[in-house]
Amino acid sequence: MNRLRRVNRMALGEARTHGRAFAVLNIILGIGCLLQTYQGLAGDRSFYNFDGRISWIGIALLCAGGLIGPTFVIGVFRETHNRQQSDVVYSLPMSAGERYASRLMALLYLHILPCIIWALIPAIATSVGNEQLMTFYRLDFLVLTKYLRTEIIFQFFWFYVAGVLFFDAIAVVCAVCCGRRVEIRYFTYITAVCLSATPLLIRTKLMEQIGGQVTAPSWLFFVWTFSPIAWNTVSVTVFNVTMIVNCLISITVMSLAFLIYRRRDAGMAGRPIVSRVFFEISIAVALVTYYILLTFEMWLVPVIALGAVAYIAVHIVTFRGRLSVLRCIGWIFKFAVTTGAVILLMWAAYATDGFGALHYVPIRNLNGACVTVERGSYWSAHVNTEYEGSINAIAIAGPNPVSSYFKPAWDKSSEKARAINDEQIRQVAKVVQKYASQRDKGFSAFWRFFSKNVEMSDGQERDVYCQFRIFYPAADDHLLIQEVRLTPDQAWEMMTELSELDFVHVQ
Amino acid sequence: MIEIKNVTMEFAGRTDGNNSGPVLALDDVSLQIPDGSVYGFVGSNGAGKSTLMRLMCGVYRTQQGSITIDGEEVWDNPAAKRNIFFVNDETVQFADFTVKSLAKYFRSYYETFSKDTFDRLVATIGLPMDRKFSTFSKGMKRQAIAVVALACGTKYIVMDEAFDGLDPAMRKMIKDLIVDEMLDRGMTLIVSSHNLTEISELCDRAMLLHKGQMIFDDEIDKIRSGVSKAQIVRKSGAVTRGEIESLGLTVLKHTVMGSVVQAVVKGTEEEIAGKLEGLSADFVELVPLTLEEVFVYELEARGYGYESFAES
Repeated sequence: MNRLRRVNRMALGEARTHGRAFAVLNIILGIGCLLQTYQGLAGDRSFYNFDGRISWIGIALLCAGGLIGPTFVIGVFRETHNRQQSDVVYSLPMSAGERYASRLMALLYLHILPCIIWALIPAIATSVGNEQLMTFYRLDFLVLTKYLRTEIIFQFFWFYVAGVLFFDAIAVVCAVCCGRRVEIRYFTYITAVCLSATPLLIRTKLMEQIGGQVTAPSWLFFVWTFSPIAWNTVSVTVFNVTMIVNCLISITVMSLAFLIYRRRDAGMAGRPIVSRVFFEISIAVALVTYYILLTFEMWLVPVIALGAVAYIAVHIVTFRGRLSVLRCIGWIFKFAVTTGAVILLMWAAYATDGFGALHYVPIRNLNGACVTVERGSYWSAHVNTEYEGSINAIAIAGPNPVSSYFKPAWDKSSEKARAINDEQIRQVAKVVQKYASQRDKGFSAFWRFFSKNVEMSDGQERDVYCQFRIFYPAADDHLLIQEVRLTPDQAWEMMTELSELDFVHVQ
Repeated sequence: MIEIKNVTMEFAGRTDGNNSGPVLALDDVSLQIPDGSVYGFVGSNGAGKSTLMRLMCGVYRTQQGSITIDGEEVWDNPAAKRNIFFVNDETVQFADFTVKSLAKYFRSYYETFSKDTFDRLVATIGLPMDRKFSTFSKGMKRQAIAVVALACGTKYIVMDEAFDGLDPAMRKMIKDLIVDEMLDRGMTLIVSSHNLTEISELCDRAMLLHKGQMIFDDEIDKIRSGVSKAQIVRKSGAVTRGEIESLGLTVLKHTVMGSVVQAVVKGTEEEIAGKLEGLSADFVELVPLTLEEVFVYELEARGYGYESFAES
């Protein structure tokens, strides 16, 4: 208790030295809070006018306040990058643990708590005073629920707090691992972008494009990231839990960074990249993000060449190194190893049907559901090689479908077809998966799949395929969507097999 | 007492491609700083004085050897660091502070901080409490830091080149401030400076560092009396360096001007005078050296002088 009091006193002493920045932050957050609270209470209340309840300036100010966390981290951890400050701070009567704890506590007082308080006020005001919703980022949910729930209002709050903690935690790790102020700043933003984008890209590029799984699998909710991945959830509760888990992971990361911090002394301040392991991991993650982002979009050769140039440039800038043949060979070798690892990762995704995403269908039994196959432009695709991208839908829907899109199909389907059970839904899924996984899993096929867009734009080789979108019922009246691509022959066989099932209604 | 035992410190070579190898900042340095003394660290530029001070204050971690304050290892040990205050050679880190806010800052770390002492010293000097450091003169900044250091009430104060660059009046004012306070509560002051006159006036003990190695460590009077300049005249021929060394004396410098020889020799006056009698010289005179002269001759003997640079 005595120790905690001591650390708290040190944290307050540290926080006092950032009084001006603290005042500016609170002015920004305060104005944002007032604008949003006013709009939440007095804005346009018509059901479909969501914009009327949101003060975009207010939200922008709140977000700006949240995103300047790294500036506070740099200020609080100034002994990690400023030699003069490190002389003072390291000579003070504190152990490394007390010093680190006092820094985190100072960050809590200076940035995290103000952000939480100023974001909580509009949430409570909106919830208690007005029952208006603040879910500007989940418009679809508003259409679907038709009633108000407090936890929805707190979605923004958790989303915001998770974001603040995520950026602050990354900045703390960078402050602990870097020795220069500018490094802390740019590594924070690079790492934040990469950590947020990579899981999203793995999902959209490797799992969705290869495995056909459009709905995010549950493990992605528990990845330490901050990206719109969290929007695509099956329920508000899961969303909030995801955000809380994210907050806890951020706090854990901040705490674990102490293991690196305690190994530092003042001699490391001002030196480029104190933790070489951190640097190598960060650069590797950045390369993974870069590759997964661009490989499906561009021809691979310029992508790799550009990546190599950027990789070497980052090394030169970071270490202010002179170019030498030996050093360049070392960098190129590391670059080649990372590139090879990323390509192997993508091949693994291809060979395992998007890391098994194709076979991941958490089906829920629907009382009185029907299976409808909507052919779309499939038939024309079979005869016309110009076809690309039209969608054929296989919908499994109940009497109260979540989207009115399937309502006519359900109305038209026979009474017999409606009485399907869980096993029958799985039967449909198995047929789809059987055809979807019937492709060549070899490396050359993978490479061809990779370069598909380029080949199509060249006009030399056309990979004709039919796209199917399968809608499965999931929890909370949500849909689980799977998208698969088949050759026309496979599509024909699959349609025939599905038609043979007596509970399937073919339109 | 501060006890430094066999401390070696090596800084890693630069990783920025300039291909500089590791730098040996301190090489097996051992030292004892008794309580209540004013201890001077002197040495050439880059000798390792600041590094040693930082190690003593727990700013750097010792790589080899140990540093203890009153028997407690200093690195990462608040109990030991509670007794020591480090004033480094810069003031830029306090640019945004006022005297008042600086006192508040250190007060949150040092439980022994005395507001009464702080108020008394500020009133004595007449420092403005609410003006920022960035608006102060160099002397005022030094005064303010010295006041805060004294108010923290630590047993040891370490000042790295704290008086350098100040005018004589300001230097005296800060020294008087510290010395008065020292006498009142028997604290220990460790100070480094390039101004050897100041060190010899202020300190009762000193040590000389050169290229990370300790050359000597003793009381100032003993250091001064341990080296003398001998002026030797022999009409039959100038006395050679070899002749003096054959008497068992260590010669730091030997200059010949005709039949007159000036030799800087190590040893007490009695010892040197007794041994030089064996030279059968016409005239021998021993001249005491100032600390600055001792410092210069010791370093010249180790190749740190104009002649050595000119030769290289």
